[in-house]
Amino acid sequence: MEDAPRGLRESLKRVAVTLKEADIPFALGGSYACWARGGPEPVHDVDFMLREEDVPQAVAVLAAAGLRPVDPPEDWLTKVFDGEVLVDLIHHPVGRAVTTQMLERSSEMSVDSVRMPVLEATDWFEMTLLALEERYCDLARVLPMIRAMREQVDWDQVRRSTAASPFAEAALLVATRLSLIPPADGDAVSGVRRTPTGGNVPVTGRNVPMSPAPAAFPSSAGGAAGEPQVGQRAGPSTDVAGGAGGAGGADDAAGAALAEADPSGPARRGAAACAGRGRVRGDGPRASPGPAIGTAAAGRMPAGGARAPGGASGAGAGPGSGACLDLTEADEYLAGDLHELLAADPRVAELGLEVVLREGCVLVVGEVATDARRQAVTEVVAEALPGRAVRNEVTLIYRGAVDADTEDLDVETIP
Amino acid sequence: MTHGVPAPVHLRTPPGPTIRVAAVGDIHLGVDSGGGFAPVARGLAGRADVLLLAGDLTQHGLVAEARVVGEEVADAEIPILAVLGNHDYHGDAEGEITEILADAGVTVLEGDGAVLDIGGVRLGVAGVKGFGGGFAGASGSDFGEPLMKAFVRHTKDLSADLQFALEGLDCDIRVALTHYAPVPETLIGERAEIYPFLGSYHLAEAVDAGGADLALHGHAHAGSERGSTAGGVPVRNVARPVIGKPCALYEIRVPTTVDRESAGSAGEWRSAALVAPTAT
Ligand SMILES: [Fe+2]
Ligand SMILES: [Fe+2]
Repeated sequence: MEDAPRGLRESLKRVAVTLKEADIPFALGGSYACWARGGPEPVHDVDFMLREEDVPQAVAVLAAAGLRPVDPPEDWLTKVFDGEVLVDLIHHPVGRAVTTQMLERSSEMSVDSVRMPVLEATDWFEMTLLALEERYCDLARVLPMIRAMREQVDWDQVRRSTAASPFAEAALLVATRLSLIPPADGDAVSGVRRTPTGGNVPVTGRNVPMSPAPAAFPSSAGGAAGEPQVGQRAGPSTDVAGGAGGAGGADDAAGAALAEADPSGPARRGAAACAGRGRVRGDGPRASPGPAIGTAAAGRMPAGGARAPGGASGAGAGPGSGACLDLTEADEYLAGDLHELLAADPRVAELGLEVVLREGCVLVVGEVATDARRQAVTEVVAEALPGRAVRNEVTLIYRGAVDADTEDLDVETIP
Repeated sequence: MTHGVPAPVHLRTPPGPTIRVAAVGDIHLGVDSGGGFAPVARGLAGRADVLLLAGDLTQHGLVAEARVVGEEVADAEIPILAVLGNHDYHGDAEGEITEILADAGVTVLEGDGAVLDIGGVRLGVAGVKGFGGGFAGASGSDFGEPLMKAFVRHTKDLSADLQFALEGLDCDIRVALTHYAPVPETLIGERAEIYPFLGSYHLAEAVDAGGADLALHGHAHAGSERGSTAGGVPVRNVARPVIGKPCALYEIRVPTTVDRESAGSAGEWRSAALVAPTAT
């Protein structure tokens, strides 16, 4: 096995040189094309891509060069043996014909010091991802190839041409969520396309500032940490819920207080809440009296990391202060962030809720004391992760007045 | 631990006088929870001698929430003692919350105790919030970074406070009241990974050393109700979601001299009795 790659490479070069000398258009494909473009070295498989009409001539010249043709039952390729090494001559990869244009798009590269046309990276990924199917969908093999070739690929083109394949979609989603590849432009991204709200859901790349989605951020979306307005609010009356209480429930009252304190209005606050690479948390006014985003840029901030004295857990976490999270993060981090957010947001304020992100959907399980808090779970998650479907499976701890009955409590005897 | 003989050994001694303790933790009242707990507090008259609240009385540690708690317990006819929980500290208003509860007639314990005379029986309750740190084999150490030391020292300090408070009680029945758990047994149901955030064995050490007859805690909403310390003291997790009822009721008999003398084997008979609790 040690010598297998060397043997493979020798055969690869022999076939390439023979086809070149016969002026038969071809391109190196398969895992060796990936290797040529920086991917892992394969241990079997030498694949060449040819137009179907050129295959008979290719087989003839290769046979003349001493290789042994085999006529396989498959109708999309033929094979030649170079000694022990099997070389595939593929004319219909994943059911699509190899075209002149495809071969012309390929680039001349040096492969183990022999120059030859190598399949273009975008074409290569279209084929590779379309080849994934139910019995062959090991992303552990695909992801290193994406890592190796990502800069050479037009990913939007790959998304378009593989849109019909759920396996390709899954691979691209994982790669996008791992920030290996940039997210799709606008609605084209597979992950966002089927979200309920549709539209411009701000899933963005690593270095792209998030665009605010005003529709997804109601007026209550203000009050994120790091805004100067929050710093001002954090002054004398930090007990938002208590101080502003009275008319119309603490949530509404506090929301009004936040709105008053911020003349720039909800839209701008929504934008500020979502700007920047760092996550924006709904807390920490005392620690962030300074200019906007200071706290947010600092990266992860635990809920309640800095709180205003004697009152609400920070004006920023005051009722109605939805915070939006860094949507480019891996699901498990987002789940942790949401868990903290649900504890920190006074509308829910429940530490024991379990958050699971799966298939773009946010599942929240657990118990809260009131129906209002149960409903607020959906609100808080929707504000933090706009565009994600929310499955709220939270139940109520107290089941009505019957529950409060002390009539028939059993007694345990402690010896 | 299974016992072949279900009959509790303590039946051999003549039963002493008893008191009845009502306890619940983690009621997590919010500003929207008015009216939910008042019937419980009121309804305990004649059914229990005292109500112990094991922390997390508020949802977010807000003063406004503490006022709701105060209003909900204002009509109670039995004495109420409480410790605060981590939620009650979240708003950095624990001092004010303590005052509001005190104004409503609740004795808030933190490193101290109180003795109530209940029909001639002196019930002593010592309370601390407690803290995390973990349990044997998976616990934090007073070692390394200042924050880590501070974390573990907070637990140790509060545990020492609890022991001191227990020892200071001149009473017939001694109850330790905490928010955090002293033993892992009453955490069963929670994910093992978070045990170190749910309690500390230092609290159990204090419970044992302080000679408590019962330890009550909350905090672990998904935990289990019953456990006991290494020294055999019964531990009950009275977190509202755990007990599944408005509050738990425990009847505690005044330990006799015989009980005290047999304290060496206390673990055995106490556990045996708890395997098959006798209803009254
Ligand atoms: Fe709690
Ligand atoms: Fe708690």
